[in-house]
Amino acid sequence: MLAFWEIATAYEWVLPALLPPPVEVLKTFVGLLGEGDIYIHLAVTLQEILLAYLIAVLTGTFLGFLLGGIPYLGDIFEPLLVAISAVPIVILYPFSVLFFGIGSGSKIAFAALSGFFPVVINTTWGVRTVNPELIKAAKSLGARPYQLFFKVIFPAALPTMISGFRIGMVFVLLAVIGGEFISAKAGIGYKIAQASDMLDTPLLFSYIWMVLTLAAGINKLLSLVERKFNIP
Amino acid sequence: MSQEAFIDLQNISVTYLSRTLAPVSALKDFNLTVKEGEFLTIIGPSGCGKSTLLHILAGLQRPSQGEVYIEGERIETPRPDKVAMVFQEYTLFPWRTVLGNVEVGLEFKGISKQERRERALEKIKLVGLQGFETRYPHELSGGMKQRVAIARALTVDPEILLMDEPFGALDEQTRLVLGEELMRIWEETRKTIIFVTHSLSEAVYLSDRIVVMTARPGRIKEVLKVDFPHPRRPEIMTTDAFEDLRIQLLRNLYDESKKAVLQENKA
Repeated sequence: MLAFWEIATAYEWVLPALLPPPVEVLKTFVGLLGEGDIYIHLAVTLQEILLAYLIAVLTGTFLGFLLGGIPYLGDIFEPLLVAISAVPIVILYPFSVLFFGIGSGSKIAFAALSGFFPVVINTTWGVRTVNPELIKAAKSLGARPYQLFFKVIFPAALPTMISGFRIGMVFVLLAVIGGEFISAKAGIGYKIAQASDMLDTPLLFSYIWMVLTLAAGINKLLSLVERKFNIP
Repeated sequence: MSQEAFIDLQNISVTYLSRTLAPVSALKDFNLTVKEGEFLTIIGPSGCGKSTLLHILAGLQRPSQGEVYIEGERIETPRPDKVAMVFQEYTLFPWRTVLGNVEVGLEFKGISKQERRERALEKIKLVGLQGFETRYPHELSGGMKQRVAIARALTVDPEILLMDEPFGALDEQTRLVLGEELMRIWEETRKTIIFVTHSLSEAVYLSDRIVVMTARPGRIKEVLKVDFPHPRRPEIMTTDAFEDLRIQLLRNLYDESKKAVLQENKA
């Protein structure tokens, strides 16, 4: 694909101003890595992702166990959560900026909210669909309530929860980069917006590569975690 | 409780209430005593409360009326020291290995890892699964899974083993083999076993006593004694005495099954 890209730009099938040749992108990319500035932006973005994800996973898991464990609450709130999660949450981003400012706060809040939904929905679902026969079997073997939770309900719900965690990460990434792109003072998304405004396409593609690498790295990490927990 | 039976079910009634339908009476005034070391089979049309009965014995469910006593002690909650259960579905924990599944009851009890392992391995050997300790349930056949479930129940060393159609999901051949193995395990351990099945020959082959239940609400229709000597091997299935008992059982069951089907059609 890279070869085709190089050829397409070399023969000017497309305007190099719109699609720069990969070699040039690579040069810009390497040059970028030599500057100190990019690492500050990378750190900002990573920090936002990490904090937002942490908030999303912790609150989502906690509430998911609550909604999954108490059928009455689950019946009321689960359909509501599913309905809300179908709304494009980006419409709330302007409010996040108003409430938390143009800095990292608004990105973290917005991304945490985006990532929260798949986590809470999957956790609720995972807990609610634990095979009741497994619970009966554990009880008949003498499981106490806390053992029932940690040794049966939790591991039984884990595969569903983990797929929620993975979707949550996708949403958090999207929300952080997107939020920075729309309005920010720092971060990779912000730099992408800048490069795009200045029509500096080699720079733009360099940042895009960076985001792709970041996303691939995080995805790899999560799939390792998933494999560790999903034995069967 | 006049003559101190090992298991004593007194006037058990179970009524299921439903928000939308009329209350369903699953069991009504059910009385039964079981001797220690007895292999008792309960057979009856579907919906006659056989599983409910086992759940009550396991302490997983309280009857609407009546009491259960085991060795004079009233049963209200699960008592793994006295009663363990093998379920119709295999109900193995899929994230645990065979060994992990078999030792889980001891783990709940807080037994040390070393002792847990020793006792679990012993039972794995008893059910003939040596070499499969580190396998996961999804790697096993249905028959092997049910062996694991039996080993898991035996590991907590209960006095009574409840088995709720344990071989129901298996093919006929595997069923026969597992029935023979169960007979061997029973002859070796002499646990009290209460066994629920739909299979007539399984009931005749395994039991000391067969309780035939009526259609809903479940009551005892008849109790058949089976006197074949032990050790029992499947060869007895070809004898006339075996066939006579099987036919007697079928006659008893047939009318009730018909009633149960009619009930279902009405509901």
